[in-house]
Amino acid sequence: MKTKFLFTLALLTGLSYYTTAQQSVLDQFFESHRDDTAFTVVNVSPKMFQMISRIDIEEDENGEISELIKGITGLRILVRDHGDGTKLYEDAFNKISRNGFEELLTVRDKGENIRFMVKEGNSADIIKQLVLLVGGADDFVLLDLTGNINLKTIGKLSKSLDVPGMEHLEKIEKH
Amino acid sequence: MKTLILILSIFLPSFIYSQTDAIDDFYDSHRFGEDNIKIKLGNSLLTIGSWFIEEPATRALVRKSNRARILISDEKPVSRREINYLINDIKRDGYESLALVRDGLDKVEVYMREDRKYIRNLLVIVEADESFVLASLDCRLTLDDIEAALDEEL
Repeated sequence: MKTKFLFTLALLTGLSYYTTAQQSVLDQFFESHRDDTAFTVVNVSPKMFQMISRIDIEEDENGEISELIKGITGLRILVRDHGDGTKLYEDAFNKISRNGFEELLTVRDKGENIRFMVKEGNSADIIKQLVLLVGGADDFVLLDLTGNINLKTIGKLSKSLDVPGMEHLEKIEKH
Repeated sequence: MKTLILILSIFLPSFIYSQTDAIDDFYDSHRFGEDNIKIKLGNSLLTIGSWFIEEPATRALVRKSNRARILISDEKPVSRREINYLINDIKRDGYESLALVRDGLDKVEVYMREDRKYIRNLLVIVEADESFVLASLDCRLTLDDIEAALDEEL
């Protein structure tokens, strides 16, 4: 009985470490480049989105953008606008694709590879996490958006938030 | 039990005071630097300053601020280690990160501390290659105050 209990406890402890390791590959990627001065880093915390969601947005006549922002819990962006981004793109894709993300859309546009990967939410149009990867001859973008995100309206966010990398979100609506 | 309560009551005031020590200590340790610019606006000065603001919501926002401090270090910026210590200390004091933007060597971090529905402290840390800015605001603001002021400005 005691052996079974200890075995179960060890198994649960091991599983918790495994689950944590699975979720932190993206965290590790951001962390490893966070202090690299070759990159531009943007990190908007859940607290900031909570505050923004409580402020009325003038241009938001239909309330779509407000609803979208209310559902967002975090935004992280990593951008490098010089040097070959292809290798970074492949490295990031290999790491992220093995961690529960599904590929939503791949676009090749003027020599740039653009990939959208998602973790599904409660319904077909709602996702829990959206990762955008862009890699080209002279740029690299990694964008990580978490929350309850509506794919139908996510493109509008790029107009409201003038942040590097966000303009690629419009491609989801177009496709 | 009575002894325990008595001992705790002696230490409690120092614990409360130490909540704002991290930023106070930082200002104190850098205010005498020759190349540093230090600005401190107390409640009275902020109130007087608000008389010259025409927009009512912005004026109200300034009047709800108790103290504003700015430290600018030009020639000898503050070390990364000191900044990390400050950030760790303020997080222990209840500050939460709102945003971080870094572009090359330039970095801006914004922190906030809330007390129930009020924003009580705002802190902005700006690091550049050869300069450093620390700006803090002690206040009692709500999001409605900020929204009203933003509406006036925009």
